[in-house]
Amino acid sequence: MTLALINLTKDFGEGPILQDVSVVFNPGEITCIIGPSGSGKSTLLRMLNRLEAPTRGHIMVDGEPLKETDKALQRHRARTGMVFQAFHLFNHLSVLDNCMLAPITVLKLNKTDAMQRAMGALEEVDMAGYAHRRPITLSGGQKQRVAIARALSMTPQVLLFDEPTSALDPEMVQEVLQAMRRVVAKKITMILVTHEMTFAAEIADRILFMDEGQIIEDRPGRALLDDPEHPRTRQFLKSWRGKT
Amino acid sequence: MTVMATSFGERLVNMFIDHHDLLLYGVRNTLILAIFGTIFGLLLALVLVVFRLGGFQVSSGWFRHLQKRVLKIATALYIGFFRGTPMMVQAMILYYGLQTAGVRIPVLMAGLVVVSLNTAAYLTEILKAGILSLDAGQSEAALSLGLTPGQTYRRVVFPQALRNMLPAIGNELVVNIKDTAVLSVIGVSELFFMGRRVGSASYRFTEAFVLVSILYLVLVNAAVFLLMRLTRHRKSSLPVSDSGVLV
Repeated sequence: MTLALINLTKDFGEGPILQDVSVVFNPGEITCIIGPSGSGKSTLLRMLNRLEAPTRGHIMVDGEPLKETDKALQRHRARTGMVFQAFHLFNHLSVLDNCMLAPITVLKLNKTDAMQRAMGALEEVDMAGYAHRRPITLSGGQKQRVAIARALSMTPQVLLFDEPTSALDPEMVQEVLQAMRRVVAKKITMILVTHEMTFAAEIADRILFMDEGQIIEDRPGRALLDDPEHPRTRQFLKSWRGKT
Repeated sequence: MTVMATSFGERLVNMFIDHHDLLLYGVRNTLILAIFGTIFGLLLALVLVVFRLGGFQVSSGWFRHLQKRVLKIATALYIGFFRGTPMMVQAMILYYGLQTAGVRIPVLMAGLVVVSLNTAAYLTEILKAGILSLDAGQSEAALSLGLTPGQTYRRVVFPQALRNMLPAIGNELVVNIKDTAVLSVIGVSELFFMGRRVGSASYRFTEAFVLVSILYLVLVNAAVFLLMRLTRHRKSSLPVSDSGVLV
């Protein structure tokens, strides 16, 4: 699935968060989006599964504008998984049921198939042993791995990650990154908003730098990190460079 | 009959023995009104609260927008009316309104409608608070998986909000046991109404209403006891749905 935003502007009423952004995400590509807080990274990501509605401009799916009907949006979201910074696991359901809910209610799978799929997804993130636990008994890293499994159990074509490790203790970051490496190996299109530059450099086919609601720089591979062209990118990367 | 020589306590016991059929019939109707009124009120509130909150923004479009606004205002007016007027007055309006319109329904049914509509107004506000206290991320996560707004409410929002709201819903039941007394005004033969009948049959109103109040106390405390058992039970052993047991 090819996702694109065309001349997209989002304004919550206090000045635009996204300003006339145009960008294409190709199938199978792993794109990392970096940039300072408030630069519009998360809003851009939330546009891609239409959790936010554009003020102006278009969301394109495979060259067609995304239709504004409930059905079209639900179909699109079912194919476009999302992993949130704060996990958002369903607290009233077990780990397994978190992963079975959407396959049953959205994809209309029967219970056996849904369970098989959910267990498969949990295995991929090494959480199968926790299937019958309640989310509140898990650590942050474990919760995020379940959230990834929940998204995977829908067999999405695109996975959106919104700062998946930002809410975690440093020692839990690695286990989540490890789970994400497995997703990378599955060749699902991934779009990842992150502050983990080293991880971005490792997995990205392409890195975007955003600032003040615009895409400032868009470069293949890790070129943006190694050799930033725009002065604003250079300035932003200075702090990261200092640490490595 | 040696009426003169009996004590107050004995007179209560005798009155209950003589009129227990009438009084228990009142207890039955009071329980029907309170229990089913709370259940129907809750079901209606689950619909109204969606209107009240304006639902989720799924697709846009001016028609959707207008529809949402109209429903939201209508629900606010409904809640305002039912919380802002005495249930006794609401009962009168419904009862005589139906009569004028030529609709004939049993008086117990009319009473049940009033209790349900009234309870729905209160429970909508309680549910609204319960839903707003949930993290918005819960519904976002559900929508992002492709669930419809209806599925999101049924599978994710309501189960969590209702769990938190169980004590408040129980409280509505207790309130309804007592407040259905006002339905005697339209002739519903609930406990208070039957108490008055027993009083006028025996010319002993004090005894009749002391007896009625004892029965109310028994009902209310039984309800409180059962609700406490229920909520404790839910906390300890039924906190989570597991392995495909999606209710």
